Amino acid sequence: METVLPACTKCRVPVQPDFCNQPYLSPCPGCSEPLQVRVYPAFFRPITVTSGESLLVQGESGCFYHPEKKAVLPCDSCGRFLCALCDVEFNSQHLCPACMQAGNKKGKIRNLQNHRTRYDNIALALAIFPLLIFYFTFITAPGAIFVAIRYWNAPGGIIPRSQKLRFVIAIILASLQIVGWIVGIYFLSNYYLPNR
Amino acid sequence: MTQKEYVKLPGRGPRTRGFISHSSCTLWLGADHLLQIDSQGGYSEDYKRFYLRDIQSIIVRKTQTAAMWNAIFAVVAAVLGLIAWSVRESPVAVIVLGSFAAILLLCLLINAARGPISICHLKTAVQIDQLPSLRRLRNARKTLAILEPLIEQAQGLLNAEELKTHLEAAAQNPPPIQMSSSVFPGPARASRRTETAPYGGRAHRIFFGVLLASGLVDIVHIFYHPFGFLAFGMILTTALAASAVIALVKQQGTNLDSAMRTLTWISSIYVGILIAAGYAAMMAMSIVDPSVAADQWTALKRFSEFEPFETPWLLVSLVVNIIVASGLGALGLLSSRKRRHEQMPASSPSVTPGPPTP
Repeated sequence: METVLPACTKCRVPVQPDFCNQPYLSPCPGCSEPLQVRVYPAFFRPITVTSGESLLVQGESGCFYHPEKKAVLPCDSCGRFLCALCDVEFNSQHLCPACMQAGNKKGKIRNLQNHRTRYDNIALALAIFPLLIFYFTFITAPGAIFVAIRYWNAPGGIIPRSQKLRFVIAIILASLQIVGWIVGIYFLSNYYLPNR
Repeated sequence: MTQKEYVKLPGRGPRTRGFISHSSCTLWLGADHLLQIDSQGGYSEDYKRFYLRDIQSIIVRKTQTAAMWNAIFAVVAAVLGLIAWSVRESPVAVIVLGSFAAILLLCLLINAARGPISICHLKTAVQIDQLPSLRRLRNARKTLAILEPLIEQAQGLLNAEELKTHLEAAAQNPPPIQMSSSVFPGPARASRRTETAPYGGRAHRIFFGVLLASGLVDIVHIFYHPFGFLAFGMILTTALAASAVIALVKQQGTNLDSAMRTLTWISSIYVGILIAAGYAAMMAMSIVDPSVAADQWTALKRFSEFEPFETPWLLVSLVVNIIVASGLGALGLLSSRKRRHEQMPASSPSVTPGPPTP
């Protein structure tokens, strides 16, 4: 395998071996920018490519997806026999590509998720920021309550950060704003229309 | 007690495209991987995982950005301080200019306390990614100190001799240059850009130049504001509006990078606000004095009678325009210059003598 020397991220000039894993910053040989390069064993690890072993003996189990390849283990999710080519080792589990794809689509495999919407922050923002221009709260307060209730059980961020508490605060603040509007409208109607 | 699934690593930094930040990044340490969270305003998050066993190298580069910002803050604060000193008989001017200078000094202190800025990249077998959260050298060092034992635990130990042998072997068989550069995101973006029409950027240079000039003209306006000078300022504002429109039209369907486009849009919006504010001021003047409503020249003459150091709103608006217009103009010109320098080697036939394409 050909190893590419680490290079300066500014001028892209490859650094010399003596330069690597020094505990201090050294000027880059290309652009003189202070640089520190840390190299780890994975840098020299060859990439292993497997194509799966072919079936040699009649009666041996074949892969579900490649019947001509020898099965080496079952999928931990669906139990289908898999060859070395189809085996995806992930989170200490052996999965087939179909289970992997399904898990990703349904959001069951947490480590494959790469995007989350923070409805708790959206609800809280809808409850707080429009207070600066109070008139907007006529629309945003019910909106905050809707978002909080609609997405109460939706997954929050991967890092747990008291999602339910934010929803509760948003609901309380929005409810107070709605009460404020009702009281305000009641008193204004009494003030302007005292005979009704 | 249950152990936390992720532990936050030091640092938080913006992911920028050019000069525009579009998300805030943090780095978290999991059981066997690093989790990078790109948070867009706190309303949505994008995740990227780097498994400890896959990390090939971490490259930290110290930049001069922090020192440059310190110098800018110091110079602008000193200029404002000197102006405040020269007009010390006007308390309003001293308060307004002093407040701006104090804010800039505070920025200088905070920036100096946070230490030098660095750019940190993490390389795996298939990618090289920037870690924007390690924007400060101090945070990068702290994070490296936490990560290195864990990476060694995941990958095994490599002593200095083995490392040197491996690297020397790699140095003796250098791969083709395009392989080395292909792991960086830069050329990939460049190749995407070539699908659109090439653009030299002259209209943008003119626009940002006029914007910078308008900021500089306002410095003079504080001290010297006869009718003729204000008329020149008005012509300059008209030129500014026209050059903004031309720049926005010119950048359509070109290879101009998104950062420059965004900067142009922001500057154009600022010019729009500037014109709207001028119009509002003129309207206010015509309400106070209806005789100027129909005659713009009279309005301009009346406007030239305002003494900035005795009119707080005028002084504040001039100082804001000096800072914003000069800042945006200088930023735009610097970006244009940088872009021009980047394009120069690509257009030179002697540098890339690649094989002819069929």
